[in-house]
Amino acid sequence: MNNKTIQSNPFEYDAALNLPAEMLIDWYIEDHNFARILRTTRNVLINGHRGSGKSMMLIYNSLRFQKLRHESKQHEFPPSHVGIYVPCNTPLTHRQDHELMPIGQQVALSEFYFVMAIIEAIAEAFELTSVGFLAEDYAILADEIKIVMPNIVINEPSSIFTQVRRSVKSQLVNLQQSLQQGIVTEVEYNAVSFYSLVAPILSALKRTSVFKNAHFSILIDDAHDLNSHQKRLLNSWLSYRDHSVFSFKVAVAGLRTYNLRTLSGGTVLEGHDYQILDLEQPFQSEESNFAQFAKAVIEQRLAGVGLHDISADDFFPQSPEFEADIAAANVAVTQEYLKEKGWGNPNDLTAEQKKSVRDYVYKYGRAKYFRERKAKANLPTYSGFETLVHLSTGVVRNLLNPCYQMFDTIVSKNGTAPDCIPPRTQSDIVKVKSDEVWGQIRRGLENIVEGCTKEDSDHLCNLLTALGDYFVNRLISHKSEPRILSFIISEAETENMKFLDNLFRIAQQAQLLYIRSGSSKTRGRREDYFTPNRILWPVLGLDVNGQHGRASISSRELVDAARLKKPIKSYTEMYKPSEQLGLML
Amino acid sequence: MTTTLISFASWEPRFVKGVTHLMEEGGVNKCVVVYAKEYAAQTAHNRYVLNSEAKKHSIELIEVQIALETSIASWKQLVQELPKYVADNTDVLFDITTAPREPLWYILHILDALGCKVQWVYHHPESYTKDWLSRNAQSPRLILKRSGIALPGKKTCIIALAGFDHERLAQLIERYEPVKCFVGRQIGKQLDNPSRNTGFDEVFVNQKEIEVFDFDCYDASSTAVQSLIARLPLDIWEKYNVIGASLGPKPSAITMFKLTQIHREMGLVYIPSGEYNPEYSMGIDLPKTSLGSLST
Repeated sequence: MNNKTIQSNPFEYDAALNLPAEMLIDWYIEDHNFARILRTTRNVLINGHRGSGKSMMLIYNSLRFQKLRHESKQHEFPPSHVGIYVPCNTPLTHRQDHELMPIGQQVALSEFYFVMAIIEAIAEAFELTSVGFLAEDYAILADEIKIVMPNIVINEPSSIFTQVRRSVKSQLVNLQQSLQQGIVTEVEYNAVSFYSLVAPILSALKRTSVFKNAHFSILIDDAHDLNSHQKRLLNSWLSYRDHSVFSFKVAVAGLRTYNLRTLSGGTVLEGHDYQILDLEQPFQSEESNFAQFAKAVIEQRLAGVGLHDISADDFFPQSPEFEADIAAANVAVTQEYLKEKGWGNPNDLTAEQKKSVRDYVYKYGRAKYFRERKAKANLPTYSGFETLVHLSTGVVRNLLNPCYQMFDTIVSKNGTAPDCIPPRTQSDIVKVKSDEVWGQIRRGLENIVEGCTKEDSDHLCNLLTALGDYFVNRLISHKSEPRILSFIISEAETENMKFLDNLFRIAQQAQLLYIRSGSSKTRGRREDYFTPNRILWPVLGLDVNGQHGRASISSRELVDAARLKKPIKSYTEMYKPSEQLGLML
Repeated sequence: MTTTLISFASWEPRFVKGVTHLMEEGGVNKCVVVYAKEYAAQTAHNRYVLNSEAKKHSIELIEVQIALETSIASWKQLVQELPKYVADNTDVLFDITTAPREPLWYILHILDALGCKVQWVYHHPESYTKDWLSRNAQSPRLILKRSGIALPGKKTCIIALAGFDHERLAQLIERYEPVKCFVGRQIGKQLDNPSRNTGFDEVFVNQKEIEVFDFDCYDASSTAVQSLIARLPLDIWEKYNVIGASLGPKPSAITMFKLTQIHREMGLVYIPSGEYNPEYSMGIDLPKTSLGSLST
């Protein structure tokens, strides 16, 4: 492989819709993407940050890709679980002319757009994908479609889906043309509803010989982009309990703020109307789902460019010097602990004592290395696959982005595909990326994040700076959890939370902060915890690998840090650092 | 021949100097000054000065207040007020200099729909502030009546005439996730353009889905519109849902509007700013004034 000129960068991370089909199929990691939940006949809301792979998951499970997978990977086809992919981030969804009408007409027009988009998606899927319908199947479909779309002309039953698409196109073109005319807003169109159009067509498909045992999943992508009426319509559809023919799989960025009200004013309920598939998963340990998923992603992509036998760890090696330094720090803290405890030979320890030593080393080994770096030392080397996983903060796009740059740098330099990315190159690019993020924060986010003022941007810059300083201080001097990089909010006062919620919204949109939900120390309860994007920390010399646990910071301290640049001091168990450190305070 | 002058009030010196200059040139019998409710206090002085100038030249001056906050509000107010002052065949001179692009496009649409004969004029400043121009970008929004013809099943393509503020273009790309972008980059050495373009090039040139070409955004003539069309693949209108953005010098909004006259499939998009620099520009450069007709 060494002398082979590379054709493409395996770490491409474009939006899923923009990726070539073959590439998407090759790169998708099925086992780790909750395939089982997607194949239920229940409604599912898929929650995930931008770049967490929601779209890729839905597209991979859509009919066209089910056929392509059958051809390349012999997957089941015709599938027993048919996916109909409906993207919502389209100019049709973003239209706002319905708002010029009375409220009842707003709902009707919004439903028309949405239903037409679903019908187009169904028709496109079956027009582009040959599923082996028999003549009697086409007759069933034609009969139904003539009833629900009375103006349609069907000369040749086998071209029925082409005719449906033409009808959708013609209705949408006529409607939008009439909306462009003059200065008044009056339009004529044949109002439709989900139950008058989509449901009967899906039922007819279910009566065909090909799909008599199938279930249809309507895969709604980017539902947060729907207008307010469409969101309520969709929620109303979710509350429909008969899933014998179809169900919805709805991808949303930010489910915690997504409106779950129905058109009639009710609310859809988790467990009752839908189940949640949460892509915002914890990622701290090497054994976590995300770490395994990340490894599979990288190795599958390497295999795609001919690097079949290279593991992610071998392709992104750790710096040997760094590894040796960490090993030495681990030995030193082990000795310290054994001495403190009065324990002798490690081999003579009980299982419980050995665990106690391991826990101690986990907590303080790396911390010792980072604490005892000389003040004038360069920044640590950030390399190794595990480090890249931690830097990603659990978001696959954040993992691929630096990998893409690293691969590109080596190919630009050598003209050939690398067998590995040298630690130095990895570290250089990580630091550049870290610098770039801070550069953008300091230049301001007010032109990048919607609804962010200059003041908000300044407050967020202050807050992230204070959090960085806080984590550095913890690393230097915290007694029990020095490498923590996440926090929870204590004393959540309403006024403070209102202020922080706005900053957190901006930080999330700018992909500077991730909010996840985890079990709290209070028995049986869950709590939100906050993890700043770890790409922020290399320029501060922090250990991006972090450790389990969350710091507890009061809402008042966070507000004061943002507004008044006050340092965050929410910790009590300290010990005095013994010597000057290389951390960037 | 008498002309109705329409302008959009601003605190910038070129607003009052430009409109006064047009009044002094003669031929204007009526002046409609549209102003934003949100900036009423900041524009009050300039509107007062203009009122005095109008009286001096015996020109009827009408003020129309609109709210910029939502598309619906500004559209409704403009569509209610403007037909009171202009009608079919009215000669209209629209001073676009300080009009935000959304009301600018609404005014153009209304004038076009009413059958007015529209000329436009744009006054260049002597200089812009070296500091920020506008900030606190809001969500991009499609322009009412000019939202194009979008079809499900098609991917999105953006045509943008870009200016200094490349972060706006990045915001648009982030928002709509287009598969293809055609971006006109401002040519020339005026107003620190080359150094500002350097930042632009770093971000956008050599991105595989973005095709960048040089374009004179101040030229909104029919020839310029045709040259823009010539830059685009012939099948773009059939293949994609096309969104057009004017992010560069103001006359580029005229170019994009004219493009929608030819290609109704294209929707116009606007990114509102929550804040404008009070020292946005200095002076007026009258000899450089750009002007033209709306007809294609």
